[in-house]
Amino acid sequence: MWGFPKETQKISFSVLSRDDLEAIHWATLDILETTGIRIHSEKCLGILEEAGCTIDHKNHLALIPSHLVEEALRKKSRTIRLCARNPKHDANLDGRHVYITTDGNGTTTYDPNTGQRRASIKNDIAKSAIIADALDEVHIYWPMVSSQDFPGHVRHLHDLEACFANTEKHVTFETTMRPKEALYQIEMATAIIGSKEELGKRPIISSLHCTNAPLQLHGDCIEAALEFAKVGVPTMFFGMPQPGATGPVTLAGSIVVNNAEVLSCLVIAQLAYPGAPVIYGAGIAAFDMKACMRAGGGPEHGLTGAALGELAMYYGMPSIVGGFVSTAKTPGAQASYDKFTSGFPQVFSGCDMIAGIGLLDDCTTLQLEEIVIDAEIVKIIFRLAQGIEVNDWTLALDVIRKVGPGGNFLAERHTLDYLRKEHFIPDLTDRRSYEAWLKNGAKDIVKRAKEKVKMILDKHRPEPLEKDVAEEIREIIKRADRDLLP
Amino acid sequence: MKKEIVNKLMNSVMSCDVEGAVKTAEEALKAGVDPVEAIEDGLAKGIRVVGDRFGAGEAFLTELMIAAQAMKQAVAVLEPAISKRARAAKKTLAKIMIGTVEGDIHDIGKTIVTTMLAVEGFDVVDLGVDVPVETFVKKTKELKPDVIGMSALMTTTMLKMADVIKALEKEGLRRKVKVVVGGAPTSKEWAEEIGADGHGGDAMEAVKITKELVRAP
Repeated sequence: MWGFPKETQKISFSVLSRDDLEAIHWATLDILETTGIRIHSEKCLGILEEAGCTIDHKNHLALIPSHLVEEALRKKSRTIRLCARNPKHDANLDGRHVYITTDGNGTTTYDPNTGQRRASIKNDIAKSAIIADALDEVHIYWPMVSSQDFPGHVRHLHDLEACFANTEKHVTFETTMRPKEALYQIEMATAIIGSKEELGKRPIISSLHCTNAPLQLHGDCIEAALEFAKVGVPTMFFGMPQPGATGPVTLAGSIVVNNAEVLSCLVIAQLAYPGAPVIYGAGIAAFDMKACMRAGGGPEHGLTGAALGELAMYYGMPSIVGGFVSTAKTPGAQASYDKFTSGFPQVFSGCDMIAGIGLLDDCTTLQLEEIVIDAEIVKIIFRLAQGIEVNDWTLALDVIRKVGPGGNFLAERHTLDYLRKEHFIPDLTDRRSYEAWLKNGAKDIVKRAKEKVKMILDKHRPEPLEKDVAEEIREIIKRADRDLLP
Repeated sequence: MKKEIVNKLMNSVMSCDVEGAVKTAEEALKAGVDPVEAIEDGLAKGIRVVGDRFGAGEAFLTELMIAAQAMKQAVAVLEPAISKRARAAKKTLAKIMIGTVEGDIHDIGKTIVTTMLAVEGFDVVDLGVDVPVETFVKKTKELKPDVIGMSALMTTTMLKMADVIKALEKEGLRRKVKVVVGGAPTSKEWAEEIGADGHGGDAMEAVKITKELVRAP
């Protein structure tokens, strides 16, 4: 899987200028040095203290001098390869591609049979993973919901099992809140890839860790990240300040908060394991002051996503940003415009990974149809970014002369040769005549998406895990069930 | 050997290979393949596959148009070799006469329908664009089509469709032909209002209605 190559992306833009980026960087260094960051982990505070940070142990506070940040930025690896169970789906985060990741960690699903909202189950992960596996527009799978039909202490191991069994693509997850749990996740991936060394070389998993805005890090969560860093599994540190509530109301101010959190994680990771693969993450959506909810999918979400992707590029780090998000409760008009708004700036800015497709109600609710609708939106945005190519072939003077006034271009070889390159070929978008649409059952977008979902689930069969590997993974979960019991 | 050539004709149409189809048609004549067989079991079979794929939403219109072009040019090579007797025995579906009405030079929709009707095996005469009412009448007398198709893209020009039907009635020709109308501003209601027999909302439907009107399989 090659993602969407930026070489073919003719239209691009920058949300931030070089001066803006410098200003944000300097502001962040100032905050880290003078205000600092709170980390509820003696282990992490110890690492920082040894490197020369000023630590206030009573308040779990670390002041990080600028030189440590600059040093961490020099140590980190640039290109990160997110490998897949099937190497053809490897995603190379090399600054030259844009990869689409499913949204993850939802808690609610519209039941595919009854249509009713209910708590998510393991089978929802299996189904959504098969759909993601089948779609060319999806490159990386993040378990879209949680296996709430399994107890909390092993829930996320079941999530991971459902991913491995139902997609050949790279799996990223965001659920590890305990270092011990990380070890089991590493063991499960090792069962597939062969050995821990091999997992470091071909990481088929990556782990996303959220920070706690403003300026706090969850101790266990970051310690778990270090377990992954230790074996070379890529980690992502993902800030989520909400402008107005957990970040300054100004977008630039919230970007500084996000940056301070992510860079402090980077410092810890690089001090503990120099060269550890770290991906820069951000999902900054405004706080809606009337609904008292996060405005996921609003224009600020798209703008900040693009901005943080640009900041990561300025640092020479791959990025994962939120995008294609919506607070709409069902697929339809709002979901589609929210997702378009909060997705296209990140594509035009060239963010490495954009995560968000498939969920509704601000990243909490899975409806399988939304995955395929969002894949169509993704395809449209990439066609926009591709722009208009102008050369001898595309100017088509020979063909224009041949057809001449009053003819048509339908039966020209040139048409067939360039059609797929030049036109977005719709899959779900309806463009038929009214009569044809009516005769076909007057289906709206959701009904058409439902048919596509059904077709994929009926036909698509990802390569299953080898029997002994599947058995080994089941055994690991069994052991974890006893060991992780709180 | 002969069967191989017939298959090759089918494949060249299916793969939109115009040059290949013409070359293979020449090869077929040299090898002594019956030209009727070459058309019916080779070219026509190929175009039907493409037509079906198009109908199922798998192929693009441009593929159908190029495949039809391949067939047309290969038929032009084979046709002169068909014996008089075979020509007389050749069964054709109904004859269709089609054109864009007076004052309207929109060509594309009418051309698409023309190609698709030809793909279905109809004998189609294309009168072109900006066709005066009198020409529709004169050609109806001359060619005796089973169906007349009229196309218009503007609300101002679609009124001419009514004039053509009135003129056909006046000349006592209306009962002898079926009339189908189509084009963006037209509708089922419009077709009923002016006394047409059918309305094609799009090219596919125009073909379907035409087939129904002449009871073709």
